[in-house]
Amino acid sequence: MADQILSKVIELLANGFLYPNEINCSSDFFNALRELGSLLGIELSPSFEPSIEILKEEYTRLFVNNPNEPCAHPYSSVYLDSSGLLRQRGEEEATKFYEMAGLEYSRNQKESSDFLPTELFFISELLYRENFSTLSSFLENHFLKWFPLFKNRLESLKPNPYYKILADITEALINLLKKEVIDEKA
Amino acid sequence: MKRRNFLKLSASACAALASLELQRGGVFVPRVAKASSNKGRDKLPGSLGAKEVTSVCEMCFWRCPIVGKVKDGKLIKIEGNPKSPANGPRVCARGNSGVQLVYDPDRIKYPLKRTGERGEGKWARISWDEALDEVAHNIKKVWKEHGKDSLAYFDHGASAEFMREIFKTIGTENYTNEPAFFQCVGPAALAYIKTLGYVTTGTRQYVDMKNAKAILLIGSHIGENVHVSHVREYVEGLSKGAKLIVADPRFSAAAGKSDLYLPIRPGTDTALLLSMMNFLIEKGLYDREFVERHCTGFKNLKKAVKNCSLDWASRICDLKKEDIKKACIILSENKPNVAIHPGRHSTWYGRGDTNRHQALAILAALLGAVGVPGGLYFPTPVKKGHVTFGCNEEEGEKPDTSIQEDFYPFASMFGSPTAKIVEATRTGKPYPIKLWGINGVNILQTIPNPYETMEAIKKLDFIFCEEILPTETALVSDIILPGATYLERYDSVYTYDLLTPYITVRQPVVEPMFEVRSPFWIARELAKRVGLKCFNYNEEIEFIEEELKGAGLSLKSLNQKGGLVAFKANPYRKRDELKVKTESGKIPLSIEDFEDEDLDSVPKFVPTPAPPKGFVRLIYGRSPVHTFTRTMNNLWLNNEMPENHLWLNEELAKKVKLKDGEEVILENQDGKRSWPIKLKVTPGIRPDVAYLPHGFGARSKALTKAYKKGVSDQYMITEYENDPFIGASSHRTSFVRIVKSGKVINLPELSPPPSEIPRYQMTGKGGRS
Ligand code: SF4
Repeated sequence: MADQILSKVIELLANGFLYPNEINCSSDFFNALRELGSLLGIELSPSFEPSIEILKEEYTRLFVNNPNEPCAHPYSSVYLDSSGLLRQRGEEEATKFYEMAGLEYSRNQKESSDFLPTELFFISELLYRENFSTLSSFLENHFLKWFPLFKNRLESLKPNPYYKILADITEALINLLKKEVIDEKA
Repeated sequence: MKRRNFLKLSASACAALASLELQRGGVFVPRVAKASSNKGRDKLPGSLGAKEVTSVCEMCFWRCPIVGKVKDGKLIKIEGNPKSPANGPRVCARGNSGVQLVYDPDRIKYPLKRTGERGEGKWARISWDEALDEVAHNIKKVWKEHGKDSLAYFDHGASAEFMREIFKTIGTENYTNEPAFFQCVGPAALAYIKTLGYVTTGTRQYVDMKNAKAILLIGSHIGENVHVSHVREYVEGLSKGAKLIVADPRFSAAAGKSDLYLPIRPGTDTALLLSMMNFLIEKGLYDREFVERHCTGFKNLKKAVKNCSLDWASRICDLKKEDIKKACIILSENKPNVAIHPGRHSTWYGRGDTNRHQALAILAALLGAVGVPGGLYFPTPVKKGHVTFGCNEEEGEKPDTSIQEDFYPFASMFGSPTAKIVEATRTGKPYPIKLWGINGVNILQTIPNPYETMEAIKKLDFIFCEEILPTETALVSDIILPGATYLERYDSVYTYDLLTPYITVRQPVVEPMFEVRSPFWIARELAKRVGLKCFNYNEEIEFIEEELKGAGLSLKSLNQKGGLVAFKANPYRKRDELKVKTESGKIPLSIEDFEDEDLDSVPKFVPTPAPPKGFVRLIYGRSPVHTFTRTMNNLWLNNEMPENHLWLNEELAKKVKLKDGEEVILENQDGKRSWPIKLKVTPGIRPDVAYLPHGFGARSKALTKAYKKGVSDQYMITEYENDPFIGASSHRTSFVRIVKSGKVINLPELSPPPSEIPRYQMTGKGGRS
């Protein structure tokens, strides 16, 4: 049961990292985040409900194209490959893990398969399926190798609290998972 | 904290989670085993076992045929198409690096809308519908309120051709039909059209260096300027023993290979050419028979050049008389198999640019070097189906005062001069221009005096662009439409009509990334929204098939033949069959059309002002690993040459205690200062010039690899003149001095100009006003 809830929670975070839309900018979404945050000791003010317009501008600045400084590109290849290019080692690694889990990234997607929300969806999927061995390896050998670098970059851009909290919660949860599925296993 | 503690999430949070319709569906699908035919191939290292897709390079406009190697839908490597008789399996460094363009994370990924002030740097990603509706709304609004000519379109390259149809259909005179003409090849193209009846130099140069016995380059720095087949032919010619004469104020890569190097004073090339013509005529060293049979206006020419002695040229050009004589002898001894290179980038000094290229064309004619091996040759048209898009093919009605022919008699052959578009936008005269569309050209790094261009941009009601990368121009746009790279799209059928003719097609090597779209799709969707009857094809494949049908091919059959079909060339003409496409069928050595417009019918030396005291002339050129600004952010190419250095004469540097590798700032005649740049102190440049490779010094922070690397020559060019024929803008009429540690260093004059050359008068205005 806990893993099913956690799977849903990670799915929520993946949605948070998608371009602002009616779902991830709804009061229900903010409330769910708020509650999650409080469980992890991360505070989100009760009055925090940024407009979708503000979040769209912010998302673009942080993750799409930033006219003033380098973006926090939400793709593992940018951090895992010394070239810093898209669709490199990060994507190859992620794809291998998807294959290991019997999955394939749908060709209909506009984003490459190492897009942050996609990798979070994958973690959610593994939790849902209780495939802890793949999860453990994915986190240890892939996700945790780049997510902290991404988060540093994001923080250096002084993001809107929404994205700061999303990243903090994601980090906390992933670390929790790491502890349970990797460290405790060892 | 344990993960089971998540059970503690409140009932309301769980309910909220359950009720949220989170997106997920379809991201993953169950894995299907790969088809056995490919088994193991994708596991081979590197590009081995990759799928091969033929296409056409667009890292520069030369468009070499290529093969893209693809594994798992990812582009691994680019090579030349071995079927191509022009480049074979070769591509240049830039051609290789197309891979890095596709996967550059700085790419414009989605349609973007400006959300802050223009140029403030605030954007939001929007949908294609929203973006296209907004552009269409503004086009219609400006068109209705201010008339068709208030819309202007700056376009360049393959990506821009489809959208140009929209502006043509609206009927504005201000689609520039490639602003490159007005910053680059226009004056040269005009000179050759009027002399030889075809665009001997435009995108291509029809000059047979491969079979030449002697080659003359005036400023062309082949080798630093790389177009694969062109360089190959040049190298082949040299390897077969062609004598090379290079006139250039800088000891370029070509000068390094020359038999005779003429370190000419900048701005005096026409004087050199006139004296050579005079010498050849006086000494009877020209091809008398050719001139008598195939040329007109010889008497006029002879008279016009009669005072241009070698002594005169030697003084004007700061060259040894003996060297000029030697050049004449080399050319005469090897006539008619001499390649008088027509040059390409010709917008140097404004007033004399068309005349300089006319002089080059005349020199070729005097040597009989037309339609013969080793000389200028004729294109071999490659047949393909004719395609029209159902757009308005008619020219729009001209405004009361046209910024083309009412100012420059031959401008309309190429479009509206960019300088005039900028001026009309700034001043509202002779009519207001309120909307700019930009496609495939970074206008702030291309048009002289970007400060004026910025002023104009601020006055616009609306500006939009189609772009691949967040260039300086994209940063000031209201809407940015993300274009697919040449590797992600179909364009058209391409034919090559030089010495090794062929037909080929650009087709996608990989799927487009993100939400980028092909230029055809964008133009078609935009035309619909503007309400224009345009583009009667649904997708590129439809008109590509029609074009190929005209060549007896289909896309399938062309691909079965390796993506390219080659033909035999017909570049030369027997002497008695030679007929050029001018009115008389002969080569006019004196052009009546020019005279009719009160312009010189025979080239004259018009001196360009010499540097003011303390300054040297700023000249620029190409780097072999870059195509101007557009490749600066490319990972590999940036790695090869991340920044430019300023070439400065060794003796000059010594006099003012400047050292090689030192960092300085440049200040131009209008007080504009550059970013810091390192000096390359060398004996290989004259003391009255400084040289910068062009395209560096990106000012867009969104170009993360290129930003602030080196110096942009463009931002130092604030003084320009417009050539009186087409209104092209000069690029070598600005001057710089050095600022070191905050102190201005005036540069001494080591080669003072002769009295015939006036000195530039400082206005102190800080640019044109
Ligand atoms: S010369 Fe180089 S960049 Fe230009 S088309 Fe050929 S391969 Fe591409």
